[in-house]
Amino acid sequence: MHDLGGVLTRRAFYGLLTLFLLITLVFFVTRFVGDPVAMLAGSDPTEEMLQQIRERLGLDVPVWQQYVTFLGDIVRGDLGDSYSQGVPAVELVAERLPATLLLAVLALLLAIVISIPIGVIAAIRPGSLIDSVARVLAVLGQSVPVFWLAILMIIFFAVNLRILPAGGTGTWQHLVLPAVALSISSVPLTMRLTRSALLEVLNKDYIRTARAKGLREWEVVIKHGLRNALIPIVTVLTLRLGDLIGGAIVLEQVFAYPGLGRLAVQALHVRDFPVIQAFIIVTAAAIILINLIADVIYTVVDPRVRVN
Amino acid sequence: MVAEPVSITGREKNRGGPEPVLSVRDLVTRFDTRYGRLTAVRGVSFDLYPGETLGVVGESGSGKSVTMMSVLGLLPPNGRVVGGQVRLGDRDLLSMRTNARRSLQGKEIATIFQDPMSSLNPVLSIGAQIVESLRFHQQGLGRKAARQRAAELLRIVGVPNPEQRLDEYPHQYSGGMRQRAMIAMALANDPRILIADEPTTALDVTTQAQILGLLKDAKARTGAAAIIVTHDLGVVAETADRVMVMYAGRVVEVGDVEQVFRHPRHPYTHALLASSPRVDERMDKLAQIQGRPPDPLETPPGCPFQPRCHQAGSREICRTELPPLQQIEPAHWSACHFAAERFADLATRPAAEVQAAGGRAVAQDEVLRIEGLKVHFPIVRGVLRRPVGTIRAVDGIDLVLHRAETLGIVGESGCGKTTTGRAIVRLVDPTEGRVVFKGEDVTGYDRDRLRSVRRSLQIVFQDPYSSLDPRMKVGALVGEALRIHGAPRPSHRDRVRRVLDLVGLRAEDADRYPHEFSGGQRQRIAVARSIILDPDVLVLDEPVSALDVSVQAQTINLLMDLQRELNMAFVFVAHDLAVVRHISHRVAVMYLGKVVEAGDNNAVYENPLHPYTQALLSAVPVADVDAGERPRIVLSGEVPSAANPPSGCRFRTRCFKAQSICAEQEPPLVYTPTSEHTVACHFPGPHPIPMR
Repeated sequence: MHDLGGVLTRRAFYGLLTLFLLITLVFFVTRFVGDPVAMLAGSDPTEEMLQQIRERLGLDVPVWQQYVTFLGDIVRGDLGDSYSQGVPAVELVAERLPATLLLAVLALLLAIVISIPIGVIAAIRPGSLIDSVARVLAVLGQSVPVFWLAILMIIFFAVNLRILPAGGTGTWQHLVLPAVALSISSVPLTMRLTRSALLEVLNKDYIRTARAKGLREWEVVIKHGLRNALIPIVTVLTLRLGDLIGGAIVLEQVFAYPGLGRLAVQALHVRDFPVIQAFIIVTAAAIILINLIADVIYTVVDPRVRVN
Repeated sequence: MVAEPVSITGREKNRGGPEPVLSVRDLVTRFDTRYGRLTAVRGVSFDLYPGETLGVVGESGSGKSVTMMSVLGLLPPNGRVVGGQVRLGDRDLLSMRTNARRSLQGKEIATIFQDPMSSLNPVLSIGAQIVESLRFHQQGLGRKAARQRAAELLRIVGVPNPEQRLDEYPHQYSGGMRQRAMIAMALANDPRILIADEPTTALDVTTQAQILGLLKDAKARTGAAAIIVTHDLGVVAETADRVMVMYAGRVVEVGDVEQVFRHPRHPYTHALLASSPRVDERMDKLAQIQGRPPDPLETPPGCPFQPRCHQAGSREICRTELPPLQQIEPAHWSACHFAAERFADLATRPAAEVQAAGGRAVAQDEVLRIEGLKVHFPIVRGVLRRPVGTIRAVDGIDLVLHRAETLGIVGESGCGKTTTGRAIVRLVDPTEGRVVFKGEDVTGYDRDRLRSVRRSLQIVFQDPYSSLDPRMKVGALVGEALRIHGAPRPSHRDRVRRVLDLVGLRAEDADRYPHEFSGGQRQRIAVARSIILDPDVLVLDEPVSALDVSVQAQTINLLMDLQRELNMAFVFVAHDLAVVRHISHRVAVMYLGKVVEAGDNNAVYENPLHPYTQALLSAVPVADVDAGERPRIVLSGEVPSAANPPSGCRFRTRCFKAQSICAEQEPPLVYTPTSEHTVACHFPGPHPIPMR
């Protein structure tokens, strides 16, 4: 057991390294997007006004010097104030983060609830009707662009049937369409993975042992089969959560859902550097944290990871 | 005398014995494969009587395991029982519903599988797996009581600190301990029948001795009848009351072990016994069964063994009529048309060619010398990969190899024999010591200089399935070394053809891929590849351990022939003491990175002086029912870790002679005043009980 701490320390170290590289990359890339000063100054500014704004925002010094100041600020936990709204960028991001996380986690849970049972059935009866149908739907689900599907769903459920709101936020009904649309992108992969992982596990000798003990087939499949098949599934699911956050950001545009995505897009339009940076840093930190949690889950699922 | 196959239940008729607990009739099992429908079991009938042990032997593909899996209802999805009856007491298992049938398993019939690592669920603790079996079949057994019972079971099978080890997972157990846990699980519900499918095949010989003893105790404790499926005739001779021999999906001979082993009544059994090398006896040459078992997809008429039979191959009836299983004498059946005849010995080649390894004159010129060889592997940990320990795989050994000589290196897993072989051909770099090849110290050679030496120092690996690149044709595989070592191109094909011919393959085989060949043929390809550059030294790392007995005999004979023809020296690394005895001129016995005893083959085998060698030799089951109860030295405990070997003599923690000096001083490998070979022991000498 002594090694779990060691593993987590190592992963945390690599996580911080990743974060640092990402911050650096984001800092310089945003600088190439354009000049925020002109946008903030309004129409027809004088050179003097522009200079004033530059000084206020600290953009009057060379880029490398800005970078050093920026790193120093981060260490102190200060990600700067939004250029356009004047409040700390972190606050803006923190305000929106829960909404996006809620959407992503909901979509993930939905994907798990849909895909794992279907995957299990497909693995128990390979070549059956359910397996074949699931396979076709999986290909379909994987090839349909999420935003397009989202628009179709709005037209069908909100415009034609009028049973769900087309966008916005407030009630649980507002979450249904975005969460379902988002989960669709994860279902095919998880389902196929569950099927193939479980099929492989069901061929193992220890499954034969479990049967030889006399256990009923469902016990064999769930207790001995699925527990082992979960190991690769957990890996992929945690990777999916990162993708889901990314996907949520796109869908938020379609559903006019007030999450991080909309904040980021708005910030990008006005080149609000601190907000863009805060958004990326927080998102990346969240994903790295999720991966750390995944490592803990592994040790629960797979005792072999615990020692060494 | 001719009896219907159905009435092999001869025992109760002839002896008035009890009713069988398990009765199988005309069992037929099929598999649907890519290549077509394959009938793996072709009408097998047998009975199992209360309290007896039935040994089932046969080579791979004989249907022995499939028969058992059919009985247990554990066939893979593409397999199906298409005919016959399986009766457990008065219940017909094949007509029962899956769940009802399965509920008898683990309760009335318990199973022990071959590989205890893959047969235990890696994500559940050993305790959980035993408790599961207990509580499933014993409704009302509480969690706590079940746990207590599980600990009790572990204690019975000899797992130390059972309470604590209940919570450990399979990967924290050693191979032997896992098999003990598996047996504990099988005993959980006091079964009436124990079926063990190759229960010791994955284990070392001293562990095998422990497990076979344990199985005997377990059987005595529960009074269960047992079926032991094995390819090892020695295991059958030492554990079974009756033996059933299978070939090509059929039973070819059944009878009491003494009768069958003393007077086999089927040519296949006869040949199988003759082609197994023995640890207690030196044979001139292994008798070999020609050819291979029939393709299970085809069913030519006549006796399935006829194409390989050395008895009556030319008789018409053998080619046209399938011989039924007939009663030869009370409790002895054979499926041979000529079972009543006395069998001739297996034809080997002319006597002039036959020369025992031990009798051969060995040139005294030395080709390879190893001095103080050490191979250590660091154990690293953490981000910085700092070393936290060292595995002393090989820890200071000296060996000498002469021209055209075979040096056998034996020992159990983890003793360093394979690493030694690899260090000789420099697949791993020695940590210390010298490798001197033909008077030249090659230890410090760099890549380029090594290449020139490598053509004279070749290796053949254990697994002929994974050691040949599946995407290369045989000709390219065998000829690759020629290309690398820059032999002139046009001569390649000729040389490949010549070498293929030497190892008994056809020239056309050069254009086929490895997967088209059987295990034995693949090992011939591997040998062809290694000898094409005409090396002086060939390291053979467990070259026959993946092969069936009859194919093993062919391969060993081939190797011995090649050595004679090409004057090569072999380093023969193996765990099988009988095979090493047969092929080697000299042997070195290794334990935990050290050579504990070395010398002339006969001297070491006939007069072992080291307690470890004595224990090893006594642990090997011998396929001889006349050998009687041999005193067996069963070693206690397990091999210590090579990262932290015991002080002084490394064997002392398991030695029956150990005294205080053994912990303080490491015994040197020396001649004793009376011995003809060297031994590393403070108290060398014959074992107090004569071993044979």
